[in-house]
Amino acid sequence: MSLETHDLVKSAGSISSLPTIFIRINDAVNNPRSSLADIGRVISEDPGLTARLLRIVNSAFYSFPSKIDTISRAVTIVGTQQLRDLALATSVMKVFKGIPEDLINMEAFWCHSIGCGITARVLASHRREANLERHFVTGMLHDIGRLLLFMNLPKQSRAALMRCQRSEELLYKVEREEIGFDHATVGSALLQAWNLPASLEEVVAFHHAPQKALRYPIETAIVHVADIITHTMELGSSGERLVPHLNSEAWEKVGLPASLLPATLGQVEKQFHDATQMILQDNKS
Amino acid sequence: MGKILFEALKPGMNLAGDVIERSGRVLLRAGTEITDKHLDILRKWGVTEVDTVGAMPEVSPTDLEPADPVTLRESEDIAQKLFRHADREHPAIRELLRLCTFRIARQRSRSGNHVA
Repeated sequence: MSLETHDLVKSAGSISSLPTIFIRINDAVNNPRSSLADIGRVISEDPGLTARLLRIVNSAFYSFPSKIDTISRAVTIVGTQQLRDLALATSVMKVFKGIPEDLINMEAFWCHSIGCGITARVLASHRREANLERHFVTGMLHDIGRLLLFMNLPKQSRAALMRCQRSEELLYKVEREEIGFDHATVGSALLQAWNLPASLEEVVAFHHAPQKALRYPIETAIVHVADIITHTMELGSSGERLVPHLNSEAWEKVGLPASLLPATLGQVEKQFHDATQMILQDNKS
Repeated sequence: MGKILFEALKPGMNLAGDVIERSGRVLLRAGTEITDKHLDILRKWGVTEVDTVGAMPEVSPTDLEPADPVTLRESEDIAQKLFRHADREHPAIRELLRLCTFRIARQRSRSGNHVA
């Protein structure tokens, strides 16, 4: 099997591009001439997205003292890049439909993704990082390549999953043998096709090999550790059943003491239920 | 001298090293004798461990819900299987394995399911 990841992405049809609404928001955020009001107006054109974003900014995620009831207020308080990242995290889910249920339960998949996003965000907050949503979105997208594998290479994916069930090996390693590359490589190729920032691409590409991330080592280390914590808490599932290998250098890079872990898991636990409820709510149709 | 967890810190203990918050700010200096007010400050800043004079290193928190030994042992077996590929000597993995065991034990005692 020597299929190239880029061919895989190109042949992916509807998946090879992101929803137009996200592209327009992204353009508005990146355009130095657009005002906060412009960005708010673009978001407001999509009522579903608007409702979802307002639910998120009014949740325990932020715990603002008063209710935020319009997108223009959300833009001012949360920030444009942050809102763009949240829009990305939630609009990606719409792209993947029709994946065989025996390969992956989509709700479980997004639960694992949201869990990892929240954990990355909590870890980043302990590090006093500035833009937390950046870490939420990388955590949320880290396993996205797996969906592409399930959709376009169902036979090989099934073989990989079944082999793991028998042999108790780690799925990403088996993918490399059964398919020729792993979900991390596919995921980063997909993000590249979507023209998303290089930081996202690198974090997704190396979340199982953080020592290879040269440009965004901290971001990658955060998601690497967040993934392991999400597995520890058994929040959802993206196909992998076992706790992946921890890279000790990545742990050092995150720079938090092991004694912070109980509190971290507690915080994730508190946000997880709320977050999955509000993000998955209108995605079921 | 040794690092102890915040939970084990008591008034009257002496700090062996500065307590530095993750942003670099010094909260308390070495040599400080801990009072209730200091505990309050450390709690508010989310400090989880400090260096103290004469403390026993590696005290684990004892405030976890007790589970019956059978459930706990079964839960540990399940957790060990989940962590079969992880480096169980690493302090972070050791801590996660412990937390994972307690989570499983809690779920099992809640659902009253004791079948292995």
